Amino acid sequence: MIRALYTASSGMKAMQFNVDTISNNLANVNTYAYKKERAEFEDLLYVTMERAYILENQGRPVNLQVGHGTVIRSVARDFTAGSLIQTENNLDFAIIGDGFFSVLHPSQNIYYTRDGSFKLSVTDEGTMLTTARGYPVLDEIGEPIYFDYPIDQIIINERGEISYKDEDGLIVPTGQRIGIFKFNNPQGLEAVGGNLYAENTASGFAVPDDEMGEPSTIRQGYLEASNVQVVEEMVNLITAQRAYELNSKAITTADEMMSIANNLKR
Amino acid sequence: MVRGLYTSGWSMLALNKKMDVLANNLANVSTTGYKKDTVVLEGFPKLLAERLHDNTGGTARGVPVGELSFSNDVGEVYTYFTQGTLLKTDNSLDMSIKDEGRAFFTVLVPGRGQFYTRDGSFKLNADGQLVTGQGYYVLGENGIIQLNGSDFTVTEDGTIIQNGAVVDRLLITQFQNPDSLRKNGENLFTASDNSVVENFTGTVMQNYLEQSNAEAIREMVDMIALLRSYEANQRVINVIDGTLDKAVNEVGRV
Repeated sequence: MIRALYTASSGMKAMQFNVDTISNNLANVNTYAYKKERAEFEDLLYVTMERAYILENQGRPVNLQVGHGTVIRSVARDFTAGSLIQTENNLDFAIIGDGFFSVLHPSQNIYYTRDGSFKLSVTDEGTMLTTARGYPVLDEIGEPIYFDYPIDQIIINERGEISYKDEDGLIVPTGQRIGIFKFNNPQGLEAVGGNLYAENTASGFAVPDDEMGEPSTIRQGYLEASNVQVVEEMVNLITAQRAYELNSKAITTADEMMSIANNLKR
Repeated sequence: MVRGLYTSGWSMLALNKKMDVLANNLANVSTTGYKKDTVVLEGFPKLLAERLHDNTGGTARGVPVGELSFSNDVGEVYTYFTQGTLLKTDNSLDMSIKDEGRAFFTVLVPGRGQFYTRDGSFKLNADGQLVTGQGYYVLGENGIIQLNGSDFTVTEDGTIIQNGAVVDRLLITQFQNPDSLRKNGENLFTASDNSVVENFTGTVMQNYLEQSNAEAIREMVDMIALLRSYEANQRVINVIDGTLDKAVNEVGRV
């Protein structure tokens, strides 16, 4: 019975964590390119209860065992695409496919993002393409991208190749290409906040987009919305709350049983 | 009269164990692919009762006393392998098996051997291999499944197709008698010596996850019934104690 108390409390703990995850999803409903998370659970250890009189040839199944509850196993990030929002802003980009933009963080680490709401930043070397926070967006060889032509003339095609329209209306390629990278295991990416992800041994190293799977395409003038579905999250929230309640009822019941046992001796 | 005390007392102990199992089901209502346990309470063997009464003065006399069972205990913790509800997730790495609950994904745990699971929330590891949430390898018919990104399709018989080519087929193990499996924690099952394997007859559903088959209402009802029967046993003990009290303190008064 004491075990039942701990078992049920493991369920409550798991559900608390579940609600934490759901509320983070709900808080990011309007975050560009936010990818929803889902808490996953697994059952805990089982102990086998022995029976003294078990007969050898009876063929009784061996599964006389009781479990110890549940535990959070992982938080899986769902990288399915969010819907595209048309912004008609020349510096907004959405990736269709599994790729990520690469960004140089002030810590000199290269981070990855799918949030393509880019801005311009005027530096000594020229006008640089940056994220909304001012971090340089990198091209396919890891160099910052500079523009020395009017913003409204910049054209970035589906393959990420940068070109611009000159005064005569001719399209001049610059030879530079926005860097798009993929990961073997995007779910292993470490979220560092600010819509950025860091690669690590779990995710595998960044692979140039066209070397793995189907190549991604870039849409200029579009942004990727968060892939959180409010209805789905609300349903999950209700389920999580009820599961929390269920487990608290199990604790109350176990407690009541202990009280009954205590009242055996008058 | 004192025997009654033990009968009810033992019954309370058995109910304690049942409560542990119920609490485990409730804790796992949100665990993917969890299969609920149910407790089968069994009467003590009647054999025991007969032996106590058959002996008189050290000689077996074989006088039939009638059948009597003293209390009960947990006879079996039986796992229900029925199908859980399928939840659509739109994640190509999520898979579930649709059948009568006899087929399992085969998982290789390095250093510990083969395990079976109904939890198909798979991932890709850093090398692009298909693994479970714990990082254990999901086996195909040709061993570990090597993929190139998460863009692939799984047909109903478990064949994995990527970029138009067949990569492998999921190794799905179907048991004639899934009740011979043992739970291992981490959503994994192990086969025992009694397990009999047969051909896979279900279907594999990509983009779906199998929910736990523990039902909240059923478990709550069981829990209420359990609590009340626990209470009843306590009443019986109290009554017997009261009778003993009378016998000792009132009948014996001189």
